[in-house]
Amino acid sequence: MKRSGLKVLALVTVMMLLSVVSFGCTSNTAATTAAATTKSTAGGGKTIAFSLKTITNDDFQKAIADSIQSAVEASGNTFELVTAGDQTNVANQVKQLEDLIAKKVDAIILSPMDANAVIPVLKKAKEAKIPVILVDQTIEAGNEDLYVTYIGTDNFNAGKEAGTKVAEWLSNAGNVMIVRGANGSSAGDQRVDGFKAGIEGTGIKIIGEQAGDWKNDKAMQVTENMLQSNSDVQAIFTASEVMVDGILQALAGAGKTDVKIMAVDGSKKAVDLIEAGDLTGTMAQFPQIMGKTAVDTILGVLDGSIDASKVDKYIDSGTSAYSKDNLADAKKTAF
Amino acid sequence: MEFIIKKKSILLVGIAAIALLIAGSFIPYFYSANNLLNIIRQSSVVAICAVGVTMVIIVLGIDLSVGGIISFSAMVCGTLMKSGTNIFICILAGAAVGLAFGLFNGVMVAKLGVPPFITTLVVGQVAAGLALVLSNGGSIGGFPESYVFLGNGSFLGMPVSNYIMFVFVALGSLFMAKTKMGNRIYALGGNEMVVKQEGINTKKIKIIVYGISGLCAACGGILLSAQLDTVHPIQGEPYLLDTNAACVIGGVSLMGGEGKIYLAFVGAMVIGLVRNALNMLGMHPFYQNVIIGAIIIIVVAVSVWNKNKNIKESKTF
Amino acid sequence: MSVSTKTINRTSSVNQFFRRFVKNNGAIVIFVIIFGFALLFVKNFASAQNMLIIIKQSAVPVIACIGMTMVLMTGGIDLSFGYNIGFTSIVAGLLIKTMGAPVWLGILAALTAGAAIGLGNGILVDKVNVPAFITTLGTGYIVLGAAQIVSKGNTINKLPKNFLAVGQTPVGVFNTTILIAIAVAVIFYIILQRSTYGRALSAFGYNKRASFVSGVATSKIHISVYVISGFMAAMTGILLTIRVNCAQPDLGGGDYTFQIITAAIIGGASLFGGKGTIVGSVFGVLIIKVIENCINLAGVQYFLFQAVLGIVILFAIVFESIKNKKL
Repeated sequence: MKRSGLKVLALVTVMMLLSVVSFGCTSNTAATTAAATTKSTAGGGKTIAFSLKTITNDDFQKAIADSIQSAVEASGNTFELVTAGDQTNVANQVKQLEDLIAKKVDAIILSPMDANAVIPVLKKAKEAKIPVILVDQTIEAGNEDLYVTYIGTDNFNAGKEAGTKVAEWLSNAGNVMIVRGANGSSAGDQRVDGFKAGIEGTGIKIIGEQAGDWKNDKAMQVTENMLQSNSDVQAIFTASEVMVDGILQALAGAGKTDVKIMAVDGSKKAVDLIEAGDLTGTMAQFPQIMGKTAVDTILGVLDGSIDASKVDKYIDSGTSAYSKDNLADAKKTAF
Repeated sequence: MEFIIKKKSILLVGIAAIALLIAGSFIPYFYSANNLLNIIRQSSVVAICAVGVTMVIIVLGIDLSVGGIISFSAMVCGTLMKSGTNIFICILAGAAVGLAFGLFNGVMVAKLGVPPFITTLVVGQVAAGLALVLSNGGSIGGFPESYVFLGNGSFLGMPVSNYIMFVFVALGSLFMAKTKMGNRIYALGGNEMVVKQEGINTKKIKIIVYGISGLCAACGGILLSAQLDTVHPIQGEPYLLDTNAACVIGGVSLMGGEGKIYLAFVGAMVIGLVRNALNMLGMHPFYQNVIIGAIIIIVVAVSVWNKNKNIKESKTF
Repeated sequence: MSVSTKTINRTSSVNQFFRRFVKNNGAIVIFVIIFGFALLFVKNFASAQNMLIIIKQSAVPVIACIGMTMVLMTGGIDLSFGYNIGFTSIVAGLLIKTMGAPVWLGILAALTAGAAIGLGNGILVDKVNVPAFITTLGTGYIVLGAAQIVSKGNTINKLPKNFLAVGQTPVGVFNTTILIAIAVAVIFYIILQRSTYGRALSAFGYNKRASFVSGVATSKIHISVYVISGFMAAMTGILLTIRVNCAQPDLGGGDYTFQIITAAIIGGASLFGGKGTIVGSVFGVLIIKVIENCINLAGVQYFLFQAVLGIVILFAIVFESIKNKKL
């Protein structure tokens, strides 16, 4: 058994390595838009990597990635995309960051999946003198020395403004349901906390709160069930537009046509829904601003024209409430 | 005949080594000491969990609670640390929690006869759910220096994590190869009826095996949180499949009765190596999924094909 | 004398019937217990509307569970199921909305894609002999990657009304999706209980070698269940897409696979092969959906959901095991 075990192992390693080599070669020569490492012929020659959770079924994160990519390539440098996966695979993002450091990228733009988990690896990046900029989500306070700046939406404020807007819509009285994001998501949690702060002191009551897990079918199921508990609801707040389709179906199924919905993100899809009257409003984020600002800043740091220590630690990429009232503007800035 | 086989395996190992050198040269920075040590460090959690899961698979079981136990044990340990308790006690508490869940699995399987797949799957869900409850849905971090050192520090040039992992693998392998209990575990997996007839309490052995698996998962989880300096309530999820896959890749037979812990460790390294290689190549994440899936299948297909050949050659009827 | 023995015989045969029913239909018993519990203790549970909601939420998972049960009956497993759902969702969405193809073509393409993935699984498991756990895990990742590549990570929403009508057309108080689920259940019930295929499948599950030796075309049967599973995954993908009105590459996913497997096993399917019934699959799904419904109705805190669900299912499993031992 020992003998054949060794044989097995050898064969296994050979096959695996041959596969890696063959796929590695083909992926390097494939010049498709899906290939992450795009070699540019113009000058620059720096590699800037963007690490985040996923761009699947997430227009917002995709928009950040796209804006970073165009800004990087426009400057004649190389863009590399690393996503950790669709599960909440926090350790995977850390692994990928370690690998980025090992292959000596010139700069890292990062949307951390967890505020604490990336701190050890960012310390390593600092030792390796690789500048880091955070977008969309930040890390635990007290570690400001580990990044140049954090550019993002103030999620708590966005949630608070959403709360205020909903209170306006309902003239300060009514029942609201909340469909949260996935457990453990700080952006999602902050938006909901902000929303609750925004409706404080008004006559708005929260009659149901469940996690939609950023998924349409889960959001639909929990909304259907919440409506069973109490169908007297005037508005629904959800932590992201990715769950709106499911919520709409749940409401349609229950015959509730007059429920106002407030979401967060600000995508073109949402603006279309607002125009059609399905979605009442959404708190926009500005991924294009996040991406462009991040790239401009990091390029400046790399070529010395910007002093990293002089940059503001937090740059608010802003938020705005889209609704039927400002559709024309919304269409211009939606992603 | 044996001589030819010996030559064949040396030849194959030689081919593997050359292939490794060639493959590595295509990938920038793949061979830096930093990267190689990283690969081992990144695979340590899976490797530690695989020590326990190997034993479970040997006794014809499976352990899908690995993910949930990783999350919950680490959460218990982390929560205690945040409240200022002594680090050793925190780690012990986390390990004890894992052991308890493992023993529970064992009792369900051995005494109540519940199929291990469903038991461990559901128990894992409960553990994962409890991790969320304990943390109120959030994550915790910012742990004491000495704890983070376990996951990130270096000693004599090699990450501390790697030492810890090697200890587990070594202890596990020795346990299985040299102790009476280890022999019994193999025997049980090979032919439970015979072992029972010898008057050995097979139920007790199974319970112990599942207990060990839970303990390993807990330790893996505690090490993971040391590496990340965080306990994220659902951090254990991906490890469920990776651990079981590592064991199968390492040649642990799903038919039970055979499998070496050090080979499962290699299986874990293979997975870590492949993921690392793909990251270093800068391959687009969508394509990475396809490659990893294909490699898993190819690797196991080859090993199974090879085994079948052996069996065919050794048939006496 | 004779009178008393007659009485004893009658009661013991009723007893026997009862014991046999409970033993063979554990899922129905568990369902009745949980349902009764919910009726008594959960507010807003006992309404016709709520019952309808639960049925609507169970329809698609029932179809999925039947597919998975078939595979489990052969002692195999299909871990690519959830990812297959996402892939077929995108295939349908791309063809029907983005490329404007006729609805029937989109559906046909999706079903074919799902069955093809199943065929791939079946061949790897039966001909190449790779363990089902690993095969389907690998193909699952490949299919996930493919779905993401084809969709470029995007979702496709606001699907054409005639496509949605396939699943959402009301039929009395039900809708077409529920009817499809019922039809699938009935068809497979007949196949499993009354056809030679069904008998051969059972035999294969119980004892592969004996089946082979007695001349049954085991390869064909073995591969066929994976094709069926892939086909069912495609149906699930299409109907879920219609239900949420959004085609997405990450529809279903790994979690969904495990939920379906849990439902199948609660329903009495055995992981070692042989055992598995349509009735069991249906009630397995209903049990889980009723529990989830109750947790939401009771307004349980969002982070307690998983723990509560897991604990209740654990009780159900323990109950089943004790029952199996005692009866």
